[in-house]
Amino acid sequence: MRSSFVSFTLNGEEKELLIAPGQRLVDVLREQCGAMGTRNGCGQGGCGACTVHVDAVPMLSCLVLAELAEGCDILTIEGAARDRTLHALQEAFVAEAATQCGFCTAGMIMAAKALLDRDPAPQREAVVEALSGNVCRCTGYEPIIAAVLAAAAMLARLPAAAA
Amino acid sequence: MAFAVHRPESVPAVIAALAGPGRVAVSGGTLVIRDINEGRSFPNAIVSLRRAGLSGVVRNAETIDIGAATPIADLARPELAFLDGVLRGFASPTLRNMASLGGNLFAPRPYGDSGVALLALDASLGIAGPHGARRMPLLEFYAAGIAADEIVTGLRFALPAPGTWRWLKATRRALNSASVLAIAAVVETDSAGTVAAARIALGGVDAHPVRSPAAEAALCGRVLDAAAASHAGEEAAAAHPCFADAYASAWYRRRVLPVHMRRALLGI
Amino acid sequence: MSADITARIREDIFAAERAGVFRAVGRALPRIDARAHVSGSTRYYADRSFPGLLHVVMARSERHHALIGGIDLSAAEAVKGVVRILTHKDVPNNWYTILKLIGMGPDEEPVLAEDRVLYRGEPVAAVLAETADAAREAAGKVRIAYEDLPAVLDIEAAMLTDASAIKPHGSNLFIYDGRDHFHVHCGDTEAAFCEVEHILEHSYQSSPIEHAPVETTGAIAVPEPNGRYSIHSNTQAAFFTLDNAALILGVPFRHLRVIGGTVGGGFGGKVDVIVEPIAVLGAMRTGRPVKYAFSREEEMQVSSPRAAERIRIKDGVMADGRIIARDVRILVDAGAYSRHSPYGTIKAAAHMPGPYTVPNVTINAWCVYTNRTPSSAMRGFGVTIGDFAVEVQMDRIARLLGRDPFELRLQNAYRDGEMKPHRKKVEGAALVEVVQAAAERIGHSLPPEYRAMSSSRKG
Ligand SMILES: Cc1cc2nc3c(=O)[nH]c(=O)nc-3n(C[C@H](O)[C@H](O)[C@H](O)COP(=O)(O)OP(=O)(O)OC[C@H]3O[C@@H](n4cnc5c(N)ncnc54)[C@H](O)[C@@H]3O)c2cc1C
Ligand code: FES
Ligand code: FES
Repeated sequence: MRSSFVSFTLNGEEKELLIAPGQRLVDVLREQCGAMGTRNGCGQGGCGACTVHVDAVPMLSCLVLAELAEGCDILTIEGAARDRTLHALQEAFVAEAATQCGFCTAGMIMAAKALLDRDPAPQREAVVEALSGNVCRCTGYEPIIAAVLAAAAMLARLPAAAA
Repeated sequence: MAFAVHRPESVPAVIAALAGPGRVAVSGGTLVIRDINEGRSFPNAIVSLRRAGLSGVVRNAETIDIGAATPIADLARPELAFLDGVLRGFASPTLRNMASLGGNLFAPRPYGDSGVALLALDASLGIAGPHGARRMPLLEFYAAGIAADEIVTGLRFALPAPGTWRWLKATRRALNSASVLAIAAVVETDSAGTVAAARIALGGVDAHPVRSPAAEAALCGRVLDAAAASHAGEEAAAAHPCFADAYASAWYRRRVLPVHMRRALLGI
Repeated sequence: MSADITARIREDIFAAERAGVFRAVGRALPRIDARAHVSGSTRYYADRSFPGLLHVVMARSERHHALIGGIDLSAAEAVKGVVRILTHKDVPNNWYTILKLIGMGPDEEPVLAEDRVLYRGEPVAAVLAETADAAREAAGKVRIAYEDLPAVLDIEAAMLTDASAIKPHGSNLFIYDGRDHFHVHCGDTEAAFCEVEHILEHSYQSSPIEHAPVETTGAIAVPEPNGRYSIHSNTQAAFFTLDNAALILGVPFRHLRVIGGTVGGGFGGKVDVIVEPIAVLGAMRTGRPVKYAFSREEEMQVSSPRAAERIRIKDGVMADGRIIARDVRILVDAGAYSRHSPYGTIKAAAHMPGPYTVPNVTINAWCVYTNRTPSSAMRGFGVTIGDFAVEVQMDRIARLLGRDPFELRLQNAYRDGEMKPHRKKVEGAALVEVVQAAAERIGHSLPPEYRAMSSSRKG
């Protein structure tokens, strides 16, 4: 069994990587791309800490084979901020004290970002549902939900171009 | 330990790639890759169905065809609006982007929510293998399975008549929780409210989703009211073994089946 | 958010006892690590790359209680990528005695199992391999020959005199200074029970509780050029880890360096020193960096939970609401080995009768071994389950007497200067003020004499 070349876009940057057969995307992102913000909390699809966007759709990178990411556009937490300016969600998570140990935070933000990208003014129930695959053991979900709603409000105030 | 990953781009290529020992078809991978991560499964090679043209929903005159590799999330469309409850109760939105409808037929209990729904819809399967293609009722699939070198290519069912569809998934948590019980039904009543025909499927009562002839017989010919619905649930509870797992004991499942049957059929 | 929190700080309470003004308490200050968390740049122990890193996966007992007839490593060693497999013979001091340095023994838990296993999931052989996948596959191929012994899985069954003893000292009870349980008393409970108007007896029980941190327990040990070993760990207790790992490995403390402090959730579950000694041992034996991280399943099954407890409380109550006798029996399920549970059991006993002044108290607490996952530390271990029991009991007393549960608590609440049964004077009591504030917040009105009560004086 040979390693193979896989290319995809990571946070806007072209990547061409030599990947050992059967590697999971989460490991390739972390170990080969240095995108350590994507966490591996369970490897079972149960915690959401590994959530990344694959072609703008949130997925659990612990269950994705890296070889199947060929040609895809991948966004991780490192790509959420632009030009070193935090995304509204990131600002809101800080302001609302929605992070404690931080281990779930990147996954939470990526799942929430997928929601806001699709539905910029979500109801509380939609936020709860969007985050239902993400586990936080420290903070409690209320500050996290509040942060997502606050981010939506922040984005609504921004001129369209900046959002 | 390491395994090759194949990405065939057609069904024949999938079948060819599956020939050989230790080869496993993968659709969404939510079960296969999880098992590999956990050290429960050591395949020689993975054959991905994602690029084999098996995704998508097609509306025909009388029926709907859904590709086996279609992610659960892609079932959110107007013509399938009646399945909204099945969708919303299925794992999390993130997982629904990955988990496929076909893969769900192979999910171990208590999983298999869409299988329960499809059984009540009397769905049939398209199967492809080294000896060509065939069709098979879903009911038969659960009894007999398919050969290791075959795959499910798609599912077909007729849309239920308006007002006949029922769905309920009883869970420990409101969202992203495996079923304690899943109940799907297509219930046709005449103008007097008497049940003329019923297909009732259950999850959480046996090794895989099942139809419940006991519940169907109990309901047919009766006016669809709380007493009839609970009675159907009691008959089902007596007829199916139920099982114990981390979510509920067999006793509990049997005990609450009549209540959930009533809620499923009548919403009360 | 900030305004809300500030509103909740009652600077009028205990004003006299405060030296100065609060600088941080009552103010919403951003966490210093929050920006790193939200941008994904926080570095947890696993976020560092080490060339040549080896991975440990543990072969574990599949039995609750068994003698080990033999361990066959041949199939595991044949898996491609396996570098080395460690068994108990490789461990310099094969005793895991977490409280050794504060004199709590005895040595009874092997780091890797020797001739027997006492719980399902007990570590037996550590496979080191080039990849985690290879280590996992090989761990599954370690063949352990078992000779099953009767398993004791229920805490009360374990206490019966005819229960099969899983410990060499011939019983399933932890021995405190020659006694098979920990005892505290004050006054004369038996006599008091003859005087009371009501006797109320209820039992309470809890299951083991797993902390389930989102980051599983893990460490990476790295051999350094100076002959020392760095341990990148998510331990909650860096120096505790250093000491215990050094004791097990038989090296001076100064040979180890623990780098930690960034923990992806702990809640007490990352206090036991389980992964580090094996990771360092692997690094010593191979000269390469070694990572040992629990899978989620291991985190659920073998990381030590909060102990299951069974508590029976018998109260003697006067018609006017005074509790004058309380007899408490506490059973703590240590699981297969002691870890922190003998200490937790002492805490449980000393914590009774809760934050109330009861003149006649008897407390008997047993720390019981069973063939279950060893229990250990978790947020207030030893006291939280007892608090649950005591507070439910207080509500039941209130119901029995037809009393307001707030008033009943205020009446019996301990005050500064009173003596607790374990002979420690109460200081800094605040139950009265907390109950008053709680009543106020939910709009429950208290009579003036209850509103006037204070923790700093009787009455
Ligand atoms: C966190 C979590 C939550 C979940 N929640 C639910 C839930 O609420 N309800 C529920 O029902 N399930 C749930 N599941 C189980 C699972 O995700 C789903 O059943 C899913 O639909 C499985 O599909 P998949 O495409 O991911 O399967 P895969 O992992 O790709 O495959 C599963 C099995 O089916 C076989 N297979 C897949 N497709 C085909 C095919 N076309 N032909 C032949 N064989 C095939 C594979 O070989 C494999 O044996 C959950 C799983 C996780 C991890
Ligand atoms: S690590 Fe992927 S869901 Fe937990
Ligand atoms: S902040 Fe620790 S898990 Fe969410």
